[in-house]
Amino acid sequence: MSSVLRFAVRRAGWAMVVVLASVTLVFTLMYGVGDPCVGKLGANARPEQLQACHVQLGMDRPLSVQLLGYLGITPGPDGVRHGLLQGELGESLVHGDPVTEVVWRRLPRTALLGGLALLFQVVLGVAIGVAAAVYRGKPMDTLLMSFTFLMISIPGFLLGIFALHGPAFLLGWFPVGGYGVGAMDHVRHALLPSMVLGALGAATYARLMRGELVDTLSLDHVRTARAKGLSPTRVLWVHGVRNALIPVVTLIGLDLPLLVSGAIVTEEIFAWPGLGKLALESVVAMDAPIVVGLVVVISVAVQLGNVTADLATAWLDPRARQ
Amino acid sequence: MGWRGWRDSRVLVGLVLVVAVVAVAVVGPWFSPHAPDTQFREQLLGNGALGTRGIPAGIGDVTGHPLGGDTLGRDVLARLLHGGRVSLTVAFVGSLVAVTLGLLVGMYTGYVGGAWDRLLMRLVDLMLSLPFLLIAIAVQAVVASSNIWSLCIMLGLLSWMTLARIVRAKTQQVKGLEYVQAARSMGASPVRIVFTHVLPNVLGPVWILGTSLAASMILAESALSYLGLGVAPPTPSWGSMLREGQELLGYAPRLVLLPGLMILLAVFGFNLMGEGLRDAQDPRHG
Repeated sequence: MSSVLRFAVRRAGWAMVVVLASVTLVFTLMYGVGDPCVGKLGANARPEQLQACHVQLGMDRPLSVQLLGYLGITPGPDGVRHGLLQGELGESLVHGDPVTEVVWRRLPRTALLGGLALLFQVVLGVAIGVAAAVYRGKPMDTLLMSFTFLMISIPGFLLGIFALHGPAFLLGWFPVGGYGVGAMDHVRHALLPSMVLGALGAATYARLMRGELVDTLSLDHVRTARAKGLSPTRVLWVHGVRNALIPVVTLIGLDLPLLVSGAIVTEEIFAWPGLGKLALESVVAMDAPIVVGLVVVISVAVQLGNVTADLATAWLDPRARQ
Repeated sequence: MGWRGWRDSRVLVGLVLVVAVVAVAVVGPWFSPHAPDTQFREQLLGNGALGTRGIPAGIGDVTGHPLGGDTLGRDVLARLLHGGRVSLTVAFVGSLVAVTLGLLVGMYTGYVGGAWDRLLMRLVDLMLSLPFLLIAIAVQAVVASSNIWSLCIMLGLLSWMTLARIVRAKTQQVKGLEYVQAARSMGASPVRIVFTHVLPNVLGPVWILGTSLAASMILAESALSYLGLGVAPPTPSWGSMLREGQELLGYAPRLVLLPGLMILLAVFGFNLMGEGLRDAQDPRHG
């Protein structure tokens, strides 16, 4: 058990490094390369206005000092520490709301969309992969693999636009974008966007699952199990699918950043007021505190997911604990 | 055609698609009937063509504009032809940046090892866990004079990691081969060994990955353009045409379908080539 514990500690340390690096990168981009004051005051702001804004935001200090202040290690311009360590992420430059409040309000929405999408893509992907492996070399295999190939090559937004226009707008099966009112309505509105997001992701899982299952089913112990007279169904699920699922669990962890990228595009198309849409709007408006705050929350979420996936892999497969 | 036949001809079909799309982008603009940003308000948005809803003239409606006009009265054929240049330049130059960087890092870390190897591989792990599109849109928003070249460099800098990992593994493998050890014992310099013995051996996987990289660059560029953070207007790209056309999807679906089809064909072609090449090298995948 202690090997799992050591693994967990090491893994958590690395997660913190990743979060810190992501924050540093985006902080430098937003405050060092870009100028949030131009976003706040507009492109026609006078130099003295910009100057005043820079002083007000503490941007007259070196970037490294600003970053330490943002992290809450050193005091801000007003002499008080209020940063990440204190659980504060500043206020929006556009509407003045606290970043934590804005992000917390939207986090459950993206979690709903992303969670449903993840569910769709894993279930659909594993099902397609198992079916293709079982019918290996038959027309069914060709059909399923061609479908996944198309899904890998189609731009997500194209699929989204057509899903919104066809099943939602023309056929009326789904709401035409938006978020809805009330819990059940939110889920109803989330169905189509998460299916689009999930269909795109499922292709990768299906191809991985098929490959792993084909490899696993040709292993000696599986042949032995079959020779002992175990039923084909039992051999497939207990000896095949269970083992082939290990890399799938690993992929879920690795896949989370991709899900975030997908959410940015999907939320924009379906007018889903989550973190992705917020990210796009805030980047365009150069609302630096929101953008950096989003990176904090998103990278922490991705790392939590990653650590969970890694621990699950280590639990399933002792070889992975090294 | 059976599964076998299809599998064997994938590289060829992919190559044909890629060559066709490249030809459209390279040669196409010379045959373009109009400039991509000239507005023909009278002909393409005038009352004769449109009816009352502000729908631009469609396919075959106006002579001289075979694919009709877009929402601003610009010639769709001209924009499709010129837009291809943007998408494919990004695909090629972006992949080139990623491949060069990935090769250098992979061969260095694989051959030399040591502290730099550990550090750079940590960097690879780190960059692979960054939310790609979030970083990309942030970069595009702050880079003041965002043009096609800065876009290529950015996408390249965000995409070299997988390639570096694979090149590193292959380099380590080649380094242990007897003839390479023989070359080393005969006093060949590391640089010479890397370029004459290691490089030819890693080029196989590099071609495969480079092809898939080109596909994902096209997807990334079109997604950024679709979000309004790609190459600045009025320069056309297939992604930005899609963005401009989507509001008229119900009335003029070709404004979405045509650029969408071009993106799909290009990505499909590159992916097909990459998959075919991979299976040709490693038949186990079948």
